[in-house]
Amino acid sequence: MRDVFISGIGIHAFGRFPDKPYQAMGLEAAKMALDDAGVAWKDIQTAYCARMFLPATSGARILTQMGRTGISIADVEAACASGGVALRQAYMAVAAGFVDVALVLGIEKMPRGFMDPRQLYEDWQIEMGLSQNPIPWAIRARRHMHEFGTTEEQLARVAVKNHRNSVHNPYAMYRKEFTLEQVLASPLVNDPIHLLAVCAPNEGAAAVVVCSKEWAAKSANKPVQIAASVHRIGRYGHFSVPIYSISARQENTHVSEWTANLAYDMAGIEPQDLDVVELQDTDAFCEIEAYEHLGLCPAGEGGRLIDSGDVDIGGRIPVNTSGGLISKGEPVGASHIGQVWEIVTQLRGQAGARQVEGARLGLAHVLGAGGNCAVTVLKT
Amino acid sequence: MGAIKTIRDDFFSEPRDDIAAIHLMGSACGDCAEVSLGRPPACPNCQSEALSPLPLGRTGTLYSYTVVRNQPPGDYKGATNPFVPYAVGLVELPEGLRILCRIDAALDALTIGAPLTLSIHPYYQNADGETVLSYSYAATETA
Repeated sequence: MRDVFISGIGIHAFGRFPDKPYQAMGLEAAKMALDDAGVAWKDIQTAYCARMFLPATSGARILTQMGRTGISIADVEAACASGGVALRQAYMAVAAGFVDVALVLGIEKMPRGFMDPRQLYEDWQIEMGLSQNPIPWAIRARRHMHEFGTTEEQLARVAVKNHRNSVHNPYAMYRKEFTLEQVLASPLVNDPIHLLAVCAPNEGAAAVVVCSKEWAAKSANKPVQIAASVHRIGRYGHFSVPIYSISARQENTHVSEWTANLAYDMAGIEPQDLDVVELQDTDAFCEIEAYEHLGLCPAGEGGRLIDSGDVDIGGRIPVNTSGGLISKGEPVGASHIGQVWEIVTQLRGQAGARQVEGARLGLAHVLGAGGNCAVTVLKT
Repeated sequence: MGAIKTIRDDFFSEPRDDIAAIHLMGSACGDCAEVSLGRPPACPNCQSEALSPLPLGRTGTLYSYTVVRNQPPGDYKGATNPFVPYAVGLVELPEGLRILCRIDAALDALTIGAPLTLSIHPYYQNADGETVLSYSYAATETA
């Protein structure tokens, strides 16, 4: 297998753009990535588009605006992990030598409010009222509080940190600081999850150029190596959306832990080697749990990790320096490529006021419906 | 009450004429003994197709819970005008599974470990005038 690199990145701000068609948003991100890599559209040999809520062949509709070169362009969907799977397809194509240069685009346009439940749930679950998306996280959060003493203040502190980080990210949606008191005073969505500690479905796009070592050497910006790219879905005993029932007798390793461990093996690293992490913060508890599953702290210690300040910029292992999904919003198809954009920016030393000093090794993690989890490890 | 339907057919025992006699149905795997709600085509744990129907008992305990504070999106059949917040939780059954469903209890009295009892009840009338039964677990009333 060949080494695989990211030679260029592009992004369209995450937010709400009611007057801008997805074709225009995606094109902006794609062209930015091509320019950053110093390659032309005619150089791209295959392309993948991650999206969940957009129409059929969105990727082709967006990218062929640059010319109908006839290359394979395929849409990829794996819920919140869609971008990770699209990136993995390009990674495998380059690693195997099928192509030398690929483009990966992640994009979404979603309406305000709760996601359309029919994408994820069966009719009877919607009728019964089981289809509101934070429900499974909230139930896990309550159990975590019960078993480990995690507090509502610790959950709120995650939201405070991510909102604070987003102030320095021009591509985030909110870019506004909130106090602990404000987060705790915001309405409960699903107890104990408050409105200011949950991500909003929104709109956005991000793109990366994935290439061989030879093409990376010609990059207009600093290339970053893909050290691991893994996708798994939760096995039996994993509490994912949507479920009817779950075993009370056995609980397999959580899919985030499993996927991350496969990625660590693939990259030949340990979690403590990481300098910067972007992880799935569908809500504040999701982030606390991911600390543990990614091995940033022992099981049950997630609440204490946020208290310690270790995950702040300047701390031992800064998490969600971009502002995370809580502050950026979650345009599902664009979410993971947006994380990769942030990690590449950090590893290049181009993150400005939110720069993690000396960052050389970073990880991006997404987790969503169906137990879909993707982890990408990047290194300089 | 007219004809009786259920919100998810393979979860409910038969016959359906006496609502008080209906209970939930699961499947037990003949190879690994794991239990699932309803009738999956294969054991989600070990892929065996040697599944047999297992009547599930009426009692359980609350493993964890949340409260739905806003009307859920889509074709929700519960109270909407006005919307009434409700609890959703995982109910642990002695058969070795946890069921995700609504919990009928005072929202400020929800407690992990609390004893619960199955409730099979008319939930809504469909377009054909049939009564659709749903299931939930309710706080067990103490004598």
